[in-house]
Amino acid sequence: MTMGKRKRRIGAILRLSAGFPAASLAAAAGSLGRLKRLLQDGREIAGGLADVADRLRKVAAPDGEPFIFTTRLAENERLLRQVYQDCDDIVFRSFVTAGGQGLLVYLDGMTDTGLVELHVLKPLLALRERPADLQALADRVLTASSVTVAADVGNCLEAVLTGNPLVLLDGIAAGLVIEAVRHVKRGVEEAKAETVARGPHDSFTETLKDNVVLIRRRARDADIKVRIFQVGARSRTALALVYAASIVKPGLVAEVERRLSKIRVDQITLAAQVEEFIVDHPWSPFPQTYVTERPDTMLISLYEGRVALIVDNTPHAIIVPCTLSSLLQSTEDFTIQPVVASLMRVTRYISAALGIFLPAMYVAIVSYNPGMLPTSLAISIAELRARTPYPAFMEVIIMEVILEIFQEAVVRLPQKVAPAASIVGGFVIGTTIVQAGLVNALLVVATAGTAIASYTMPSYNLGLALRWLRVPTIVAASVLGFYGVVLAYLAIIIHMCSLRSFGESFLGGLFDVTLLEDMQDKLVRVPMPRMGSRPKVFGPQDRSRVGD
Amino acid sequence: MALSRPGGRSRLRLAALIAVLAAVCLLTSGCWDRVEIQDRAFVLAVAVDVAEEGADKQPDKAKVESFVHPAPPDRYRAIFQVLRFGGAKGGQDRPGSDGKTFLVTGRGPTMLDAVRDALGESSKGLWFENIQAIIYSQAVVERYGIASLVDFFRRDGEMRGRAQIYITPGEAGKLLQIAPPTGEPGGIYLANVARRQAKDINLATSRTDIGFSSQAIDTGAEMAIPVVEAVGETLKIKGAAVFRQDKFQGYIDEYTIRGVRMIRGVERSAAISFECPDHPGDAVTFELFRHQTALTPHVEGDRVWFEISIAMRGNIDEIQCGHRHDALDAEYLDKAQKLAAAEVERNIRHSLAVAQQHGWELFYFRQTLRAYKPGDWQRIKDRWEEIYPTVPVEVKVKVSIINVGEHR
Repeated sequence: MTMGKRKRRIGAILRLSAGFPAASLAAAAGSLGRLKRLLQDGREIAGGLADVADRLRKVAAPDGEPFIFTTRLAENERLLRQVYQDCDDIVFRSFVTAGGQGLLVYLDGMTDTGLVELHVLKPLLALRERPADLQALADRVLTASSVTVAADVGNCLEAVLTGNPLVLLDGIAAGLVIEAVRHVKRGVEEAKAETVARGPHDSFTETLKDNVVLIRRRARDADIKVRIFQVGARSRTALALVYAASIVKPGLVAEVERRLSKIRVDQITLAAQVEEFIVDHPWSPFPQTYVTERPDTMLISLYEGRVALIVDNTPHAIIVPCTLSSLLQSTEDFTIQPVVASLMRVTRYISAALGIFLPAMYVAIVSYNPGMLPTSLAISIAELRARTPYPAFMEVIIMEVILEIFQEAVVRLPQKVAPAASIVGGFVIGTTIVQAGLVNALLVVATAGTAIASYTMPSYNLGLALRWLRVPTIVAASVLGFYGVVLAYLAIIIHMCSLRSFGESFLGGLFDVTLLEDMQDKLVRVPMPRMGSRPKVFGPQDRSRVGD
Repeated sequence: MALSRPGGRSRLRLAALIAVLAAVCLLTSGCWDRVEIQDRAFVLAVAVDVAEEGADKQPDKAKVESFVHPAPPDRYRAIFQVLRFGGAKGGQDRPGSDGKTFLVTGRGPTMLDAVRDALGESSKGLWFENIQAIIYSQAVVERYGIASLVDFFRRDGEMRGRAQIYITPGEAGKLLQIAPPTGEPGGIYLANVARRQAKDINLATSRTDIGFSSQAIDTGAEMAIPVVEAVGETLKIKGAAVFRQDKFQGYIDEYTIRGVRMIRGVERSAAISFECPDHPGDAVTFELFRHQTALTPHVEGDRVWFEISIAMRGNIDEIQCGHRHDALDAEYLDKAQKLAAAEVERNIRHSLAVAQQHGWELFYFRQTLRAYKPGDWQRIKDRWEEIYPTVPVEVKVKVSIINVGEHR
């Protein structure tokens, strides 16, 4: 402020107060100060009072609910707006019905507004005589298919966030929840990972209800129970527990429920999160739940006496208990000839072993035990190795790192660029790395064979487990040779035998003589007419598949 | 609590340090016996001569290079044929090299001494797990006996029982300098030729590797070890050297070997030629496919005799006078079968005569008698040396010709 401006302002004040004596000027200033203080105090008291009111309401409201409905609609609206503060996608629509005020609250984009207009608003606006209570309104006026009277605020709030509109009427301390969810969702598409040449092509989607439908459509069986739970303290994600009541092992459903109830987390957005909460050994590299995106696979599992979980927003079902042999089965096995399927099963076991041990065996043979090779092979390997500078361990590590980088690159890249990456990786680097003399051709063959072997796993997570186990096995081989490989093998076998998935041994079933009859659908698959009994390992109540 | 904590933490740190050091040591160096495959010198064949002989005992050489072991004295001069990596690319830069392999020489009172002595010529440790053949000179086996020569190859953990043993009348080391015409390294050639015994009944290489030989040494049985010689620019296996109680006895020819193999029943395929029944002077060859051979001991009081019965099945594979008669004629076939049987019997009688004349037991007579007539064996075992040279042998041979390779 320049000097001139200040002088002009002082001049104006002096002119305005020219008619008052200086003493009254001072009194006015004092009064103004008091007024300001009073206003400030008033605001504080109002805040305090609001707090007290809130607290009082909370005292009246049951645990876990923010308030209780009052009979005054304006008050209810104010409270609702407080809860949904800054939620601009919540729509409050006031209307007049039978001489009273009404309020419709819904979540924009998740609610079928057409249905609400036709079956809720239209009858309400046309209503002349006010019904006795909400139940009467639901029974006689509203034409929507599913209407519930809800007095507890928690349910109403959650219903709105699920997409169900809430109707409140003046003078009634309760709300009406109308079932009218409609939101964008993906249609049922072909399975992405578990494709089969012959057999159904549909797969689960992100919508829980649609997934349940996919199961129900396949079996007109009231024995299949679908129980919906909610997990995640904040996300309140829906989760369906599905089982065949008269087949499932006694106690298994209760155990799954117990483990689900122990999930303490704010949000569940992926089925894998649930998986990690309910498995017995979350630190194990092995997958301990069978995960499928195929409804047919899930149904088959249910009829084996297993329990399935479908988590909303994840197009995969989790199936427990899970054993190694079930992870090595594929739906494809049941659409091809049993003899061919049996050969493929045995091949999968062999490739699982190769996927872990091939590079380690290479290291062990080249570094410690070349005497195990036939002479001609030993000579050709030695000739190849003589041209490369690194010890076998380093060579394998280089190759493993390159392989992991390729895999990661191909997975991360957009689908259109990924083939280019595989060409660069596979052809260019794969060939030139041998020509450059960094690694030898045999190791490239071994590493590629290992990678391909781990890709044959029907379970993606089992393939990852093999990938992980390869590394310590290679280290053991480089430190102790074949002795190390055998130690690693023993460690893996012991670990797999000690793994329990909901009470069933992960590996033990393969070697248990009392489970010998399960072999009809384990290492091999016998033709369907011969597969008369359900796998004993999952302890079904009803062993016979051949009806009652 | 506050006092005990630092102590606990330092113990933890010490444990972590030890773990890290152990991991680093193991990862960087590995176990003590880590030797990568390309850092091993593949010994494919070993030739053993008597230490005094050979090229390296030249007076103009410096004393330090090849010292004379004071006590015990040097016995062996061993030449090791080592695989050269990269095939023949290295060229013929080293004397005695066939391009694919090179030779290193060591000497010492024992074989292991000789191996360690040879390391002075090799940048890589000699590695025996792919050893294919061992050649002993006649001089060295005559002087020291085969048992002491084979001992190292039986005892050492790296050795393989399938390595073939050969005897050569001349200097063994020179044979390793010969590059086989097949292009294989010499040791592999020698091992593969030995496997041809299945087709060639003249080869004495059936059951003469390290494993079978040590068994024979342990049981005191006679051995017929095949003989290898340089023929022109290649190596040929012909005849066998007979050992009795580990001592070199002499050589037997291929005709004798045929008979020995027939009596032992270790022939698989054989070409047996006899004179054509209709055209004397022209040969007909019977090719053996299957045979059943039984050696049965008989004892009646003091009289001991053996019975050899052989039933052979096979085809007529070649007829020198083929265009002049009908091989499908039943009468002709009958005669041919009898003549083939007669030829087999003649061969067996020849081998029996040779062996009995020298007192060499090449046919497991003693073992058979001991196994089948243990009581009688106890009675006569002290006189066996006298009985064997004159023990009567009854030979029964039946030959069946299945196909003749022609049609009407």
